[in-house]
Amino acid sequence: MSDLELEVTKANGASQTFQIPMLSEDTFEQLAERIQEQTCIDGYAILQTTLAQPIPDDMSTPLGSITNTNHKLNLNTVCIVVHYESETEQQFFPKHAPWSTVHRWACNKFQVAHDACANLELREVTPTGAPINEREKIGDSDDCTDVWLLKPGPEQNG
Amino acid sequence: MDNTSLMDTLVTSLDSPEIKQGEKAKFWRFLERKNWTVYFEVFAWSGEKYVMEFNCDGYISEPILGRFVQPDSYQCTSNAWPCGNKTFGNWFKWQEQNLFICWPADRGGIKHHPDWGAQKYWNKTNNPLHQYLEFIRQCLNIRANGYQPKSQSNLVA
Repeated sequence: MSDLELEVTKANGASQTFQIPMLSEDTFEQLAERIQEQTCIDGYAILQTTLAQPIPDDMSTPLGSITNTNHKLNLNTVCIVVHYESETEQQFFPKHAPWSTVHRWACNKFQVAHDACANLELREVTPTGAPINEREKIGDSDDCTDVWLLKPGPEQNG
Repeated sequence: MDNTSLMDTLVTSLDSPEIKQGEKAKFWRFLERKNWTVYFEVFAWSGEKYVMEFNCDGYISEPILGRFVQPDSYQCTSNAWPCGNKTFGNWFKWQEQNLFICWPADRGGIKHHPDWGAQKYWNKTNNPLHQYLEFIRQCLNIRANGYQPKSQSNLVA
């Protein structure tokens, strides 16, 4: 299995190339962590962009014989600042990654339990900002973008 | 308010920034208005889309009647409705003989729970149509609400 070569361009135009080893015995989780450590970009989001196949729900699955991997990738990244309750964290993401990767990353970072994470949504700029469609790509931004991860009010039923 | 004023209110709601914002974010898409009835496409987290008919007769003073309908014929049939787990099923009743939305701002929900009428829940905001679309957005997009994709056939490209 060959290395993963990433050319990362930040919003300010600064560019850097990373050579990341990929071993067939690696798990998806290990590879995502290695990418994260070296690039300071969410490793899961990069894998999602890199792999032609869906990432398994169980990230402890070995890479094995993954196919159709794009081993050389140019990534433009954007800075996202996520607010959750009284905490704030910042991370870089590929601009082509969907917002769902930000949601996933934030739940891990803020140690939100899986069930509770499924109850949350992202909102633009402030807690009362417009809801963010997590199927959509993050998109361009010159500055860091502030978003809030929160639980919407309950809706009654019978 | 007379019918003309109520209709003006409906048209103003349709043209409101919050409904435009939801359309821009691709949570829903306005299709058309036929007198008091408006049609929207609504999108789920999985990419599936559904068509909703909102009967807004007596808009503002009366609750909206919302239903899922076939995209081509606007017929309300069970297979036009989204499905999900028990949580989702508490709001959406997709059984053929009993199609309705069990929510205090829906006319069908109030018919099944007459005690809900006094709450006037559909007036929680000054834009009941947006309030309804927001409710649908949350049900179809927040995973914990239990929507389950039923096929790959109506995925958004």
